[in-house]
Amino acid sequence: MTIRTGHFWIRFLFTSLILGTTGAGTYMFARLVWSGGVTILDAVMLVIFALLYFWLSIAFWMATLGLILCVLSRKPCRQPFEPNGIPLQEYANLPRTVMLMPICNEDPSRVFSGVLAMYESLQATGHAESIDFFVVSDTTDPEIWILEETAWAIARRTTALRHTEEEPAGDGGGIYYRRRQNNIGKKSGNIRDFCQQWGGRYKYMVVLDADSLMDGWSIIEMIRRMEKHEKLGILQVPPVLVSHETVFARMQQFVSRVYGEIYVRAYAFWSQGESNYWGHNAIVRTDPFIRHCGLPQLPGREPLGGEILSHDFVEAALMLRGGWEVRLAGDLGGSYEEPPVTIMDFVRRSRRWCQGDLQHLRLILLRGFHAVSRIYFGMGAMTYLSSLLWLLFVVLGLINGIGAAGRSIAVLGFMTVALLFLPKVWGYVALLSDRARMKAHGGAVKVALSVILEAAVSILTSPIFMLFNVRFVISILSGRGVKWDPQRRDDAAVAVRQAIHQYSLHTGTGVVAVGALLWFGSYQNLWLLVLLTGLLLSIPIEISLSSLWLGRRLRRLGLFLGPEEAEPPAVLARQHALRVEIRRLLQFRRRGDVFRRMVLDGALNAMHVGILHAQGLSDDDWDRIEPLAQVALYGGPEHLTLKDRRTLLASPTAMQWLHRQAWKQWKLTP
Amino acid sequence: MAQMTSTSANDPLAASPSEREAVQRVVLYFQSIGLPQEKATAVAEEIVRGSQAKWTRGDSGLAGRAMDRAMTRIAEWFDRLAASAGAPTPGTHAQLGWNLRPLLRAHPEVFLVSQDLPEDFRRAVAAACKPLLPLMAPRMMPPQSLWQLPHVWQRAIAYAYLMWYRLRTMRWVGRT
Repeated sequence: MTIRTGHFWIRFLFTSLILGTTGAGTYMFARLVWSGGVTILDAVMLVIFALLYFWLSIAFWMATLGLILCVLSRKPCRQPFEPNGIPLQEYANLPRTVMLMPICNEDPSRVFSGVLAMYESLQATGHAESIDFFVVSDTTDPEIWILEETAWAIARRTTALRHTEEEPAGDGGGIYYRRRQNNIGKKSGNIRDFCQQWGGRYKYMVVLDADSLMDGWSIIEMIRRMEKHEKLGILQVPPVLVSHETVFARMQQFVSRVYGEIYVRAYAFWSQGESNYWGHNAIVRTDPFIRHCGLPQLPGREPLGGEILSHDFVEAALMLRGGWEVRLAGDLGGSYEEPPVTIMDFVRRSRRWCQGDLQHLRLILLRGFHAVSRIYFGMGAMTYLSSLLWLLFVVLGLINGIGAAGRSIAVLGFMTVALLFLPKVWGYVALLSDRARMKAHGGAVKVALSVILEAAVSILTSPIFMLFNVRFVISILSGRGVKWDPQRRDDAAVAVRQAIHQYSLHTGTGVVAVGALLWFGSYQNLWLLVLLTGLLLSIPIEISLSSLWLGRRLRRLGLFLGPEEAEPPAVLARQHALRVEIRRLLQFRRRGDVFRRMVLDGALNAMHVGILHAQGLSDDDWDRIEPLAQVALYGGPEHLTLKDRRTLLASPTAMQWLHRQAWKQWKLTP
Repeated sequence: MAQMTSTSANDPLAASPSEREAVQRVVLYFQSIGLPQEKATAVAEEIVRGSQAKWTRGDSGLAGRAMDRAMTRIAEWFDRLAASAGAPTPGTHAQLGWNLRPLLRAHPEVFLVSQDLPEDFRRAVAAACKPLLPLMAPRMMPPQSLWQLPHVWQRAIAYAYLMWYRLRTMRWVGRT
């Protein structure tokens, strides 16, 4: 791995600034706590402080670097790509590429509306002839499985009928669907299974999430860049958060746009060819991925052993280890994903990420990884460990009586607050330097109000997240694994009862802590009340942040406004329209009848059997399955368990038999 | 599912409940593959009449036999269409019903016909010749070896573990 000299010095300077800030803060803190002699508690606190300050300094200097780059650079960041100034022949004869979307129990209307919108956007470029779409499903819910197939069949028919008869069969431009019978290895296992079967067919794969969306020209440009840079293994395009309307989701969308901008610039500049992979909205060179990125099982049991959950970081590290570059295309836009809509959804996702990131701690010291990969592993784990360290620090501070008034603590407090909040100010300043962007966000005043409001909400929510993260870290370290739930993709408010159930621990902790503080604490510790307010109010906070009404109201007021809300990109608007249409066709209101429909609907049944045959699932153990089929026929599908329905659906013979018999036996009602 | 229909009161087939049920089932079946009610009823009555040849009154299997005939007619039609497509694939038969369903509503006269098809029908048949899954190009994706710590770390960890073990097994209070 080679690093250019200039780049080495930039990294050196950047690291020096971080270490310098950490050193200064730690020195001041040491003077503060060691003024009356040193105890073991003081030493422990100092170590924790240094780690936390180091963590804060990274974020601060990254934001500062991003601001400088934003002000200096005249190129827009994360803007939808337009092929201006690039010779069109560079887009001709692009190699075979697959848009790969691994899914598991997701809303089929979201999945296939996204696929169709991207397909249409690609067709509009005129360079999509070599690009296939592949939805690889790990779905276990039989009804979602059927709806997935139905939605896929709708998408396939919609696209296939547009082509002329002269087009050769089996060429690019196909939309394919396959479902695994066993979901070994979860998402990374699903991708691996695809690579082992069809990996030799495609030079590149654009990996997507169920909620990913990409503009056609951005995809074409990604392929062009991969073609141009032969050592490039993975090109990550930073996604922008879009589409949801709850207060919490809109705030994340605003943050991703305003603050995300400077971080993306800084990160792309700092990391160069040793960047990271976020698992989706990225293009991957298939051959080296297959050769270098097969993930092993970690020795030992879950949660820290077994399957690697946060596979993306490890795959990037393995790609770097194999001598390939991983880059972040900070300038490239047209890449979207959806945020979690409530704090609870965010936390549920964090639970999975926390387990995966803590697993990475086991990889930090292993042989062969690039130093930068080790930093990414450490930073991932630190995201969650820092919560535990903050809690420890506050508790030890209370025990140890830190809170002495004086100039030192005032300066230190000011420095810490500056490190925490200046990145938000930098985001705003960067926006000021770009008038068009500022206008798209609603203007300087409204953005300033949004920044202040977001900062206030983040002060209130940070102890809530801290407590959740602490629980996760402790539960994972004590050996409890994680259940893999799909992320909710719809806006939905949290009911009062649900919020009370989920946040009773937080509220209780807040009440006890405030009581103890008022009873035992001195006035110097009263600053902690700011943090504890978030815990005390966690129930109303969750209810109001998950509110759709409030989210829309804030939008009408022009707060937390993003460019995608003011003027949705074509691909996004099309995806929303297609989703409504596919939902109507899938008739979600009659979800209980889904299995019955699959049995009776001749076209759908034949398509389902056809896919099973195409996947090589033709040999059934009919003697074992026949009793289940008889139950379905004479008792009705409602008498079958989920597992039974899955078994029947996986058997082509059973589904054909049921189709024929049901038309003769079932009472057919309107 | 389309609504259950009934045959005309003047139709002799409507006289018997078994016959009426047979017609209704076949009509529903044809409607489920996209045929409008009028055409579905006409073809269904013809099929039920044909099924009556070996059927005696009181036999409860008329509906079943009519359904078998209806399904066979569709399957044979799809076979002819697939053969006419030129380059059918194993998935062609499976896709024909799905691709033709929206078109049958507009062109019911083409039902069970395999020659002189309208342009959109021919395109739908051609589209059904695309494979359901592309040809496989298998590759081995070997799991990478991650379990080699640098020697210095191996020694450090082994030494740390040894220390930990000694601390845990040390008798802190005097021997008994």
